Amino acid sequence: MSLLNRVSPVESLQEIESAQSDRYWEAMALAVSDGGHSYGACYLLGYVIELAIKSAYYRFVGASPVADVGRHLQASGLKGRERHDLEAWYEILFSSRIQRGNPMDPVVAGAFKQRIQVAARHWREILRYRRAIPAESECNELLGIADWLIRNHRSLWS
Amino acid sequence: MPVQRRKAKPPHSRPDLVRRLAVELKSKEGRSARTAKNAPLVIEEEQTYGRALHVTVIWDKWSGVPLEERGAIITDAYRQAGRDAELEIMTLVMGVTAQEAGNLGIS
Repeated sequence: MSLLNRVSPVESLQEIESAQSDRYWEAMALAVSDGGHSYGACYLLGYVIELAIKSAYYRFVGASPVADVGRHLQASGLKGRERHDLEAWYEILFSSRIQRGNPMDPVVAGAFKQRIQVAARHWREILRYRRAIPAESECNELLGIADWLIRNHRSLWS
Repeated sequence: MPVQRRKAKPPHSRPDLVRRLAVELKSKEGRSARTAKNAPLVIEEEQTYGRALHVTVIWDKWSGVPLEERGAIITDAYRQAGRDAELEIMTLVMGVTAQEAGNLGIS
């Protein structure tokens, strides 16, 4: 049985949050390993950030933990590459909370936005087709943002 | 069972920045232009959705101040300046240094 056949056919909130945790620890393993794997670490950390915002959005809109999130993704209005756009996901979450009369704390919203803007300067999904040597500070910024999102996840959706 | 009552940790430890920013917010010039070198630049963006305001304060005094503390300082300064009407409709508060503003394309 192939790897693709072993992964869940359903993209659920539970799968997304488990993947977020797995990618985080894989990124950490790359970041601390010998042999200059910081590009891989940065690449995975970007996905951790993307998954953290997405899961906050899906939690906020009431997605089931186990059902496919497809209809919520459709409802977000994001298409194609926008679905990996960190700032677009931030905007969707921020505006959805306002539209539903449950806005984020304005201080949290500002700190969240600023971090996502910084992350978006370093990361897009196109990194997978490119190569470079990230500066230690760039990797540390992405790690700090991922850590902040994990620590403050609840305040993004509740 | 021993009971200890402690004061909650304040959201920031920079009352000096609150006072300085409150003075700027009270002054007419502070709302539209930088009054002096190193003065904060306050940008209030009225949003198209409902009655909402995004506030960004560009100020080099933010250097070394954590992001959440910057936001708390800004909201405290609005309160101290008696700008409660704006506080009520703020949906986003952000403090950035001039360099951060440049990096993030904020002007």
